Amino acid sequence: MIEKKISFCLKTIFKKEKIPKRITNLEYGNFKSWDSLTHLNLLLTIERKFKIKFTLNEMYELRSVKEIIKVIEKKQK
Amino acid sequence: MLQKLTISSSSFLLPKHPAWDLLSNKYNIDYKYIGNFSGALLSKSDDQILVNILFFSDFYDENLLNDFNPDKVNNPIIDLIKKKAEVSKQPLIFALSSWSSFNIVSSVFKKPLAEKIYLDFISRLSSLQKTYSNIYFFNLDYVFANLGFSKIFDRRNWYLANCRVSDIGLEEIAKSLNSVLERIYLPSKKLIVLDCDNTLWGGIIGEDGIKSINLGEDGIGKAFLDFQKTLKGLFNSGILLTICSKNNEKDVMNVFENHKFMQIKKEDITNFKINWKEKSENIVKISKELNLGLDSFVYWDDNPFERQKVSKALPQVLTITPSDKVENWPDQLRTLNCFGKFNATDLDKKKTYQYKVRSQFVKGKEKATEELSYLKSIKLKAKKIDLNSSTLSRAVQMTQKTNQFNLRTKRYSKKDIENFGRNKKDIIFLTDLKDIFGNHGPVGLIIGKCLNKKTIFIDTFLISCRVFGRYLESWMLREIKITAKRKGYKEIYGEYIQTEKNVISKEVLKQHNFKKIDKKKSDKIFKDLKITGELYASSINNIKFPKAKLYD
Repeated sequence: MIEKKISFCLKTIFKKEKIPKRITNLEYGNFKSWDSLTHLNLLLTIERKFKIKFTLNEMYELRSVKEIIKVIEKKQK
Repeated sequence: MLQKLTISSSSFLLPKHPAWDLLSNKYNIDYKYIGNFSGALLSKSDDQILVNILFFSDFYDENLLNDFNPDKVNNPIIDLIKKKAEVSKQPLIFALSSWSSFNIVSSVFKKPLAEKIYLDFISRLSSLQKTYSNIYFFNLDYVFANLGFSKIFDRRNWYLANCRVSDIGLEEIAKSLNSVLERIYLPSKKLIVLDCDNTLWGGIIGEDGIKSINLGEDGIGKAFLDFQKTLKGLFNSGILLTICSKNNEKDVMNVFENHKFMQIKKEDITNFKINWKEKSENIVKISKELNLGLDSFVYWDDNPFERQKVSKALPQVLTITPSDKVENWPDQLRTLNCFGKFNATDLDKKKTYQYKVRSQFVKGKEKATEELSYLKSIKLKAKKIDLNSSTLSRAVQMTQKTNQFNLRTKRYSKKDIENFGRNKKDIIFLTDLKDIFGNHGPVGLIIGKCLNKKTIFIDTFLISCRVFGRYLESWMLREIKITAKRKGYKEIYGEYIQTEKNVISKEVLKQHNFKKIDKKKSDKIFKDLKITGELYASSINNIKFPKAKLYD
């Protein structure tokens, strides 16, 4: 479920990229257009989708889908 | 091809965030000046709409300054804006925010600096706006306040990317820009169709009777009263009010004439349709009688069933879904963006009256068996008005807004029109029209552009839809002939460029004895003027206008 939602967010931000079915191994820089700016756009879109807020530190540190899933799980508890 | 739109700002704003989709679907957005608004003002391009999003707290550091002269910040920016406004043909839009985190206690004695700079800035921008009509500005803080500043601003984005606002903030900025751009580029709504029962008053007049309907100084009655007051305000700004109600005419008129709390009077209503026919049918009839396109109509009715039928039958009409709580209606009506009109002139106020007159004219015309004798009987009087400072803005407005009788639909700015006025070889005049129905004011504009000593070209020829069917075009062509002859011209060219709305003017030149000609043959005369439509020509002596007699 979490993966599905994140996949949706990836598609919203990286409109021109092909998003693979399995996304858990994806991380910052995997696509050409995945730079610091689109990464921030992605994090903000994920926040909206899951109705959570990352802290500033988390935003600095979260670089991969795996890490993002972990933080979301923690926050949803 | 999408119109180019440059978005620039004083701090960073997350380009390509989905919040911008609203605009990027309609415009080709250039983000290169985000975070560099002065670069955008300095850029040489003059064909792009330019948006400047300014956060005044970007211009100083409050903690490092004790006192501060707003001039220091504003002088150079205002200078840049002035220079840009002089060359740019496109709108310059400023979205301004003076928000800063402030301390309520210290603010009692000392105004926040951002606010000081902001106040100085807008007073100077307002005075620039008087000279440059392509400058638009609005206060973003009012937009932000609706949702609350704590939702709009996001410190994390500031430390990560130098962006002051949250994604919600971006969305609000994009939405407000979209509303402003729509008002610049799309025609505004001109008319409201209103229901009566449970819309202008609470209750049903046919059942409750005049004494029991809700309209007055207490409770829910006051909400209806305020709703009517807001409608009256729209009426005073030139929006037409019409009634379309399933009712007995006598009952409704009784309320209009005898209820002491009615804010809208009988004479404020341009057109009544009180009967039991389908509302869509009545609305089409109103549109025909007033000669106003359905796309300029707004329809307000509390009844969802009627709304659904109208919006299905007439999708061009903007059908409002009123809040299910009447107390919200006055605000809802006030905040509708579809009426907003830029560059309203004094003449707008007179228009309501003129549309009413038009309504009577159409009815009279139906009755007249012989068109010409009818037109003769209404005593048409046309007058040439030269271009001067008081008619200039009306001339500009007509080029911007006239869609139907308009041969080339060239939209001109104040500066463009002034340039025509300056060259003595060109011919430019407006036409004022009077008849027994009233004084219609300036309703026509014709511009003849000198191509060479002997040849003149009809650059602009337009007539307001309010006075169609009166052969004013014949009179105007006769006037331009007289003037052109006096100036020594021998030949006259005209062009018809088809648009979605101007089919009515397609045959005009032909009807006045112009001949359609091959555009390639005359390329030389036109120099840098590009002919894209149908080209017509006539020798000055050959133009004919049999119907101009109506005006003698």
